[in-house]
Amino acid sequence: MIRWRYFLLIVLAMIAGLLFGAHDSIHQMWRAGFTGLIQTIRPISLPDYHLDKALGRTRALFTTSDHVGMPQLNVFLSEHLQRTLTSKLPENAKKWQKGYMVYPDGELRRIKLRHRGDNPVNWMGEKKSWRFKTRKKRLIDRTRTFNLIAPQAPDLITNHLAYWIGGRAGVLGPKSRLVEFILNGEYQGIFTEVEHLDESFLRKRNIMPVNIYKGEQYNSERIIYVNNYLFDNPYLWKKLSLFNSWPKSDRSDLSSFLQLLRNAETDNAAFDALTKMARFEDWARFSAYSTLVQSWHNSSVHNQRIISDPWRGIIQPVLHDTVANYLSLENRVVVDGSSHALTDLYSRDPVFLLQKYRFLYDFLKAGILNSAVGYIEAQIPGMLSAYHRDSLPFELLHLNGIPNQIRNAGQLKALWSKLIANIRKTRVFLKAEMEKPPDVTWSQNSGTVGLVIGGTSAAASIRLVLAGGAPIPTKLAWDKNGDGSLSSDELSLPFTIKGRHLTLDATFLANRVLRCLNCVNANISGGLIVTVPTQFNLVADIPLKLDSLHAVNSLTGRETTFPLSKRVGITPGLRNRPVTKLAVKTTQVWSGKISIQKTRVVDSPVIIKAGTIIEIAPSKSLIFRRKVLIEGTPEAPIKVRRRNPDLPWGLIALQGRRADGSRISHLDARGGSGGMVNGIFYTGMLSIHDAADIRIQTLRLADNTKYDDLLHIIYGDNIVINGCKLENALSDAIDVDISQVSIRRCRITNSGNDAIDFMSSKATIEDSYLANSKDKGISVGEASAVLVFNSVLAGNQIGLEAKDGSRALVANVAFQGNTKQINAYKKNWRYAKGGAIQVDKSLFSGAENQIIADKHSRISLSDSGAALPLQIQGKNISTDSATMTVKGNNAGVKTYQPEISKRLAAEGLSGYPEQRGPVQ
Amino acid sequence: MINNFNKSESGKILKQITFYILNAIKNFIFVLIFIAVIFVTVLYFDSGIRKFAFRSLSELPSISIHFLIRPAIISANFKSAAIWLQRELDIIRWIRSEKSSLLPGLIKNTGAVMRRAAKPKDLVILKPFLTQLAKAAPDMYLTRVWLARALADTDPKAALKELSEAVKLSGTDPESYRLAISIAIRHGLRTELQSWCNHYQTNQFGGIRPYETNNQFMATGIRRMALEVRTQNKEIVFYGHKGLSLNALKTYAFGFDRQLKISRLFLKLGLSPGVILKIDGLSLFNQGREVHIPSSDMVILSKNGFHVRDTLLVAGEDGDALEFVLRGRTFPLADSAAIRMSAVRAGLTASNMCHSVKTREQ
Repeated sequence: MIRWRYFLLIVLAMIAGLLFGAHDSIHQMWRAGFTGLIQTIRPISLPDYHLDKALGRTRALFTTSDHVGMPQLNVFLSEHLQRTLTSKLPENAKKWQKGYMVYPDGELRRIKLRHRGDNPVNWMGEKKSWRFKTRKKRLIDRTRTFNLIAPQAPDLITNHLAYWIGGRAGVLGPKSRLVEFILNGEYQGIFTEVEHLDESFLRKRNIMPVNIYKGEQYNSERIIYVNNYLFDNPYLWKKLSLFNSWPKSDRSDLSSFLQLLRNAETDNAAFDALTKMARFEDWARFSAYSTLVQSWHNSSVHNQRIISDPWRGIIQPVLHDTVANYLSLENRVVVDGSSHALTDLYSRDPVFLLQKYRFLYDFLKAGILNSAVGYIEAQIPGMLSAYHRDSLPFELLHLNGIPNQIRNAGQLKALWSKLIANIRKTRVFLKAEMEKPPDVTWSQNSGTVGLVIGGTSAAASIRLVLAGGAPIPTKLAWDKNGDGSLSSDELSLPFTIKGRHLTLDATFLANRVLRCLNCVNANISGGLIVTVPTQFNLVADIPLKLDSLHAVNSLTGRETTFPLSKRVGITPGLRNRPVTKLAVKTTQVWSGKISIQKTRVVDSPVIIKAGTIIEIAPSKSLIFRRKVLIEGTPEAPIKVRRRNPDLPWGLIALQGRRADGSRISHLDARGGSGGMVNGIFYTGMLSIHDAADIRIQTLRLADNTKYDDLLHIIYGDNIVINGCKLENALSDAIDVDISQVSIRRCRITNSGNDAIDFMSSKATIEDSYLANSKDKGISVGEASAVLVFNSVLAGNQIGLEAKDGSRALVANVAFQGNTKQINAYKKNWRYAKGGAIQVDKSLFSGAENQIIADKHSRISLSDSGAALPLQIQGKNISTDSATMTVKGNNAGVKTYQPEISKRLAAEGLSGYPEQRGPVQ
Repeated sequence: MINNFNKSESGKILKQITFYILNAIKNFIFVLIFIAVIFVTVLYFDSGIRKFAFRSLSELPSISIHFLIRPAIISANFKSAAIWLQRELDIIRWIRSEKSSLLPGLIKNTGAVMRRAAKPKDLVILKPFLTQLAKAAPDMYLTRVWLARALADTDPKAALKELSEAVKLSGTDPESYRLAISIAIRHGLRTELQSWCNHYQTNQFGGIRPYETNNQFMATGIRRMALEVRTQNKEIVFYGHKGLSLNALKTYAFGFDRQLKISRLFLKLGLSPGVILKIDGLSLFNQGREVHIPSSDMVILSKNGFHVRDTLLVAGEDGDALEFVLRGRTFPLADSAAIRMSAVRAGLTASNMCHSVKTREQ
């Protein structure tokens, strides 16, 4: 008896020992999945999980392949620090640890790394998702932070594929690639590497450092006890990048957007304002992209990333973790989906839908899905090889509670075949849906025509063939109130007549209704968009009698004849209407004395006649959203003055691409400031935001207060200033951000900061005189490229400064008495280099001719002269023999340095190669 | 002899006792290992039981503390209550420093205590715990409101700061405004009073969402509603709306996905308590033709609100449901509906303290 007990005890102890071996898994599961709020850990079978791992390891032993199919990422992290990361889950998982990475150049360098992801599956198993951060000095392609995402789908590629397709569709999103991840020499398998969304992401895409909002109210990031709909509350969003003119806690931009979104449900003016902020062009593109990848994973609580750019006053979507959803299609391709309040609203507007379908059709015609198939096929050998070497390819899938159905390479290949087949099926279905003739029927009733439009396609250019002998109408409208007669408030439809054929210049779409999907669970929060046959009654000034009716598909232009039918449709929705061409706005002509008492946003073209005097009330502003022609003359300039001499007015701005082609001639403005108008931030008394092809002739600006700049140009393209006199700027006289600008014949004096400040811009300064600035005459920063030619920089604190990956080419310039004549250095860690300045045929005069370059920068002086010896500080400053030996104003060499010569030629300038300094 | 006998007997007894003790220990270890083996085996093999066990374990501290704290709540012994709550918080922090799954249990227990706490001295006793709780769970609406209650008398500015953070999380729940306005009035903070009054009347951001269950709109606030149509063939369909606006008379349109023979019509409201609705009328459309039903031609029934003259005061914590009953007629065939109505928030003070906001017509 006793022996039996001992024996049993030993057996049980052995079993207990084995089972306690599993305690780690159980404990891990408890810590990761049950100690945190709102974790979606599913009850997985641990024996299956361990068996799967064991089988995977065994398979990897026998099927090892040496073929490396994709880029490899080698990272090293000590065993101790790896244990630290997983020692107290989940807290420690997000704590940065020091490690090393092999850089693309083959060098081993220090990095920091930690795990990532709000779902515990990202770090509770052996295969984990990671976030890497390089040192500031050692960025990779100007990016500091990367995510390495372990695959959660059995095909290993769909997460990356969504980014890949997004890139081809022109959707704003991070760079992504598939990599093989190797940790401490141990193969980890295929991962998706994704650039992190932060300020660097913006700068790399020529977007100013503005707010990037992260909307994540899901898994562990959900705030409990409160309504977690992201589009209901601005304070549920976090900032990933900051617009540094506002406090970090500020949410005014998001508040305005969400308030507009709510009001736009019932108010047309709010809807119009919303479309200026959340532009159709951005959201329709994103919506078309969602259809293309069949994923609405960026939802009202999850995976929302948006950029709020106060310089443009816009809110743009950013692709994040969308995940191409082809594998779960199950014979149902969706054209119209929506996953949050904004797309719910926009999907009921026909103009938005038309733009979305245009994008979608263009994507399909451009063969993006075909290319995606080609791309997957190209990746298959690499992925297959990686699968062979990876002992745990589907661990995250298992941890997500999804049974692993891929047991061998054959099954994996079959899955890829299915993925490819489904992508092709999606392409065929969507293309057919876009090219399908519109679903139209029509009926006649007491002199009116009832059009019923169903299906996805829009019916455009509807051709009514009038019955023989029937009179021809002169006016035709949409009988919105259904009373069978023309009313003054009903939308008149433009048409053309050819014989008995009357063609409507309008496009019709069926209603989109959000059908409640989860009503069984009493949840009225989301749904699927369905198209519903919709009835538009047409009424004319005489009874209509038709022989036949034809319409074209708005995308293909193909015409179809439609039958007379008794089918009825439902009433067009609140936002649904025939889409007609926008009426050309009447040009306003301003002359004499104009008084601006309230801030005025002018949304029609304007001509301002010579001699006009504009008086603006304190803090009030004038915003031109369309083309403006300011037609001052030397004799009769246009003057902008304070209405109250003691208080500054706000600003004058040319805002947006509809103001392209504006002209400003002989404008004299003084005493303004800046401000905030409709969510757009203006720091210039005269501001040019997001506009192109602007010509400015003879501009006088002076005496601004409160806000920085006299003239601020941002996101401008081809802006030419020919003649200007700018005085007494509070800060910078001209501030140029992410623009392409040409400045000629300008005299800028007494600026509180810089005379001209460039950031990420391309510019030419010519025949100008920049003097007595409290800081720089010309500041060239953050990857700008500037040519300074035939100009004088005098009495500034610093004559010319270049920094942070910028390049300044200087020819025939006189540096006169600037405290520091030239300075080049590295200021911002986001740029690998400092400034580069090449000076040719220039003159230096002053008590101290300081020329300074730090170790990241370089300056070269050629054929230039100095009254007193140059004080050179820095190893990277070179001077040629002509500079050292030839004296006087005549050039030592009769040609420019090659780069300067090339740039002058590109600008159409012949230059003055025979002399040093400017010819004024 | 006797001594020898006693010695040998006592040695024997001692041996026997030792044997029994050792045997008992052995059996105990055996049973212990057996239980542990069974426990680990079950946890390892049965994912359902594992989940249940872990979930139960998460709830255990709060359930235990609930029973321990109940006498203290009944007898208004807040010293004892504060000690137990603090212990629960310590356990939670020991297990996990932030966003712990054990927090909702603590919130429930704290809520029970806070409902009982009425006197200033009660709140003084609870203040150290509430301060720590707000620190441990800064993004929980209730922790901010409770701390504000505890600070209201001693440090009104700090209390208002907590409430400012609370309304960021839920801008529509009246509780924080009620407390802020009371603090501002009692401490003579006129600017703050007006600011809180205005904020209450206009803020429509966020709302409350129950933790342990889902309600019809997954949240309450001042934005969401839905038309529930019960058709003559017993079908129930919903059409949502996300645009309710305060202080404006507006038309709210609901487009159907087909023509419906309406048998009963409800307006479901995901609204916070204290919203006053004035319904001007209902329009039903069919193929563009409108049938307008003025409010005088129908009876509006509320599930849990109150009718005050011709307005309805939403009173339920979880919104309301209004039923439109036509007088002496049936609903016509309809493919869409529109309701014209205005919404304002009922005052939290007499009107001379908070200036009212005018309703715009649109």
